[in-house]
Amino acid sequence: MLQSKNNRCDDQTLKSIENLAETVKSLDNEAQNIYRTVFQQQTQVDELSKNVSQVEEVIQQTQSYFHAQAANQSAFELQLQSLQETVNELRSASYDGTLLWKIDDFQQKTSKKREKNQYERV
Amino acid sequence: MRARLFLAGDGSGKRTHLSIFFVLMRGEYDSILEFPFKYKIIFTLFDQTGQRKHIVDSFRPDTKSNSFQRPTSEMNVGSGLPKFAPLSLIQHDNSAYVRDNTMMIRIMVDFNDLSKDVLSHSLQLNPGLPSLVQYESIKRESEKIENKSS
Repeated sequence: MLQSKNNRCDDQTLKSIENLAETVKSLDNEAQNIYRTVFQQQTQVDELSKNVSQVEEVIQQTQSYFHAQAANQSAFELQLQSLQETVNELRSASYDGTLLWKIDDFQQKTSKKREKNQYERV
Repeated sequence: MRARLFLAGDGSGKRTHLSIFFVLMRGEYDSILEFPFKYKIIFTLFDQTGQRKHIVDSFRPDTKSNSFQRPTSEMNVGSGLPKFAPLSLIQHDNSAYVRDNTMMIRIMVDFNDLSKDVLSHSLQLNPGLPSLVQYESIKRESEKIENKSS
């Protein structure tokens, strides 16, 4: 009688152990799944960070391009200015020893007391 | 050459007169030009009312002055008329010399050493005429004056 009771207990323990073993197995599976996912995400992160450094490089290139453009533009502006000066000079130049000098904006020039220059060539 | 105008005066004409100066500039052909520069410079401030009361003044270069030697730098020291025109004639609202906010000045190099009479004739000439026509007219006038005196 006692023996049969013991047997039943063993059966139950065995079943519990089996259940536990199954649970452990499924947990193990899940852990593996999680591990795989983490691994995948890790590679994705690696790839993305590679992309980021590429984007950074492109940004730097674009920036240096803009700098070069700005330098070019200021060089062009200087050139334009000197051309404008040359044109003004040529426009007011005379080659026969007589220069007719028109001084416009007289009021503004007087109020500023600015010294005005004009060119003439003979 | 370059003309330099001080609307509020400079030197002895400071704050009282309009000052105008003549400046020799260094040029590409200086090596074949004659120095010192010796031609008379005539400045004319135009009366724009049609009454021909132009302000005319001139000066003859002092050939010993550094201003008229061959330029060794970009430009020589200017030389001219610090008391070209009194400011009182110009700085009022109805000045004959400022019309439409504009002043007209002629700077002329007198290559031919014109006499006073011929000079006054040259000032009556229409400045719009081509310089050759003006020159012919001046030549005719000086011949006329010469004939009169002889």
